[in-house]
Amino acid sequence: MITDEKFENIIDSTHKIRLIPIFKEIIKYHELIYIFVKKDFKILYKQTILGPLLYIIQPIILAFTFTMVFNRIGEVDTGGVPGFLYNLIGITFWNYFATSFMANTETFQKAAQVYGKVYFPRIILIVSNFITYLIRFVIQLAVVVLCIFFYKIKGYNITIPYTAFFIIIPLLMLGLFSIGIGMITTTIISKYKDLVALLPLFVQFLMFISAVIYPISALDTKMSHYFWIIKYNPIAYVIETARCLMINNANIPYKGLIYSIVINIIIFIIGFIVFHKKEKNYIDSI
Amino acid sequence: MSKQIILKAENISKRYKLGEIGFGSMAEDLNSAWYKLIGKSYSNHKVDIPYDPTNKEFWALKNINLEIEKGDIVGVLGANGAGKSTLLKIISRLTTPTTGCIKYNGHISSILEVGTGFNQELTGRENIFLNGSILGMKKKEIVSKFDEIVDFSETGKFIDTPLKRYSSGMYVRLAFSIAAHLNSEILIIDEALAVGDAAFHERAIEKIKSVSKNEGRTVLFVSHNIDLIKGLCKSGILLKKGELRSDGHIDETIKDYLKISSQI
Repeated sequence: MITDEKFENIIDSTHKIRLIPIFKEIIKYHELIYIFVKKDFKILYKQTILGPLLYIIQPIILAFTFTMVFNRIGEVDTGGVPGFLYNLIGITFWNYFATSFMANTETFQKAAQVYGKVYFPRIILIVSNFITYLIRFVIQLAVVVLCIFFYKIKGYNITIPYTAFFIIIPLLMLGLFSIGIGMITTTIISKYKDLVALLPLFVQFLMFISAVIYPISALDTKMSHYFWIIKYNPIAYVIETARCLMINNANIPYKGLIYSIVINIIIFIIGFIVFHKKEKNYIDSI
Repeated sequence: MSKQIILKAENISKRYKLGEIGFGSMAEDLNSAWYKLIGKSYSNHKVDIPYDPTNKEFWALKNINLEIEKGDIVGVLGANGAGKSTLLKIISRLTTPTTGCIKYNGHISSILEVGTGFNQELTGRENIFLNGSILGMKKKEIVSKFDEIVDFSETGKFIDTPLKRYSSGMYVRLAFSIAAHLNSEILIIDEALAVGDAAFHERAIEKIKSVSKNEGRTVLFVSHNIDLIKGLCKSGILLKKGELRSDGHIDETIKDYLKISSQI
């Protein structure tokens, strides 16, 4: 006699998005997320000289280079803020977006290589990336705070205002951007592999039009022909807002920020849908 | 005693597209679309096989219906290309069926290939926890099984060495040991034992038997070794060119398998 016709799990061909089961799965796999995050940091210490110091050195050297090129040779107006500090803040926030984005674009490719023969919801990789890069950001933010104190001691009139607490908003927005665009990119790349080579170029281009090392207003006057590139770039407003919150050097571009939030949500929804559609059988097309 | 069905497949089919996938670059895809539009065949198709627009599909599985009982060791038989791996891939949730659905209870863990889900940079210890979590286990459960896993795989001394330094034998022993000891109700093993030596092979077979008998877990076992399957399995599944040819007692499945093999 056969009993128990009820089954807990069903595998079928539907691509319907059921939000609650997805959310439940993320909760269920929380220990895997923890292990992935721990793994990302452990690998950092293996066969390296610098280990986590790399995260501190990288933005400092980059900020130094940009200061030389754009503030000494070129003359970007940072509004009385030391060029190095100005650039360091921009780079720190930008780095968070760029590294998290690049990691998310690898999701399907990495999943196929390393975890190709075991099942777990691939969105777990994205969630763990989100946490990993948030922790890295906090480490880099500490450098920024130290740098602000350094300039204060040197006699510059810079204080961290109480608004600095709200950097959590631009931070989450950058994270959401990196997930949304990353999900779309990893889906496209799982079919068109040659686009991988274009990605670093794309990220670099995006950086220069994202107000990382200059205020948005500077371009309005200096090169008004190309201003539309920055005007419609949602990431530029987020970076500018983050900097305003950190050192209170200008007014927050509220209009641009709202525009940015809308675009962000739209990209995230599109990314989530295409990712979810591809997730179940990406292995067949990779 | 009543029998419980732990896994049920209804009307499973899997279609693969020939040619279209595997192009890879957008330029080629656009080219192909353009040629389709103007009604000519795309030149790339002519290289190895004659391009036939009516025959772009390949059905790796056709209408498979299955019921697997709890606690059984099921031998999966079939020649190369019969669809065994595709079926197991679908059951392991690595790809979706084109039609039909599979219903099951509990967790499924599978060794479809040696060292699945391992990270080369991490140590054996870390990989045990990684693998356990991938199967959805709690840390506590993994800790309680940890010593057993290490003992069985005989990797005691090397457990804190990165996996990339392991020999292929150690690798497969650890992979099997993890899958066999973690709490999954359904275990899928696909020729993963081929790399281990004779002694480990024997212990692995004993372990599979005890897993089924003492713990009531279900095992799907793929092998081309008839003697092994005969000694191990109670029931069997035979696939031929994507179709289910027989499904029942292992002796009859093997008889059918040998009959089909001798025909070719």
